[in-house]
Amino acid sequence: MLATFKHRLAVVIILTAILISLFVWYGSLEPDPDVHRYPRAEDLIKDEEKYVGQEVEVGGRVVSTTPLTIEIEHGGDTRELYITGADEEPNKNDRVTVFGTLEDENTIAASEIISRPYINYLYMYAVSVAAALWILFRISRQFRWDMERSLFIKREDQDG
Amino acid sequence: MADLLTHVLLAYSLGTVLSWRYDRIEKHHVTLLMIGATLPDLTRIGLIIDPGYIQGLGLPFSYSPLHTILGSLIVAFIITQFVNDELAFPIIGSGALSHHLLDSLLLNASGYSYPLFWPVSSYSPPTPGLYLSTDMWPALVAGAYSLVIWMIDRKKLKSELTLGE
Repeated sequence: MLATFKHRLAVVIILTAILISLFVWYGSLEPDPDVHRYPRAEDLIKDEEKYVGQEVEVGGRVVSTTPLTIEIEHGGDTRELYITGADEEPNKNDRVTVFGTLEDENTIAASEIISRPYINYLYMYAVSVAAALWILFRISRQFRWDMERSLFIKREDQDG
Repeated sequence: MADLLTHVLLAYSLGTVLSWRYDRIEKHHVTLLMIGATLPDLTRIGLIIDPGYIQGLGLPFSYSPLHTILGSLIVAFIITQFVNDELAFPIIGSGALSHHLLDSLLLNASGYSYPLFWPVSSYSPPTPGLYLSTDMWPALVAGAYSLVIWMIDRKKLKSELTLGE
């Protein structure tokens, strides 16, 4: 299956180009509620009026609890949105995802809200880093890098 | 995304059980399966290179395709080019698919998961909403399960060594 280095390099370049094309293609897609691709934070930040009256799904950080206000962020730009009708009472700094109708430029009438304490976010990133380190440890024990062929090769002396 | 640890623990368990059944699957294949299970979350590259900044250059851009079946299989195939093992692609690819299977069960505010099959189809399947990626219990359950698998594996290894003597 593995051909010459040139052949492999060509495969990598072509596939990387396809991936980047997919990134651009996906980025150019407009929200489409019919396939449950609802307007998200980046859409609301780009054009605040366009989605009024539509269902939106946005994630953000709670900046105030009375009234419930979240800050959404995209590409360094931020905006604050009021959330009404929430059946949960998140705390300040919690991360929430809200699904609901954008009533006006600054207000979402929530039909579903999921909140997660900030500490859970830290937890998620901490264990994810641990998982990555575990894999790196296993790679270093079980594989060696062959410079000449630019390949990872199984170590014969591996013991798990 | 469920947290990465849950994905990796389950891939470890899956790979280890497969290695009991199939002699061709060795320890390093389990590692390849674990690598595969992380691939869809490469979208987290957005934490380092914010897609918003790339869009600021005037180019529509989203890392979401990495978190689709096709996108993660493409990445798996790219990685395969650097691994000298004929089973590399099927195994890394299976790891990626296991990730999608778990993530399609995640709780989502809209009740629908994500367009798994894009660009073939934009359909997002409804999600049963079993857990959040920030929940702690999935990793605990997966961890306990993996521990049992690990202990059985050690025992098997020992008895094989004894038999071999």
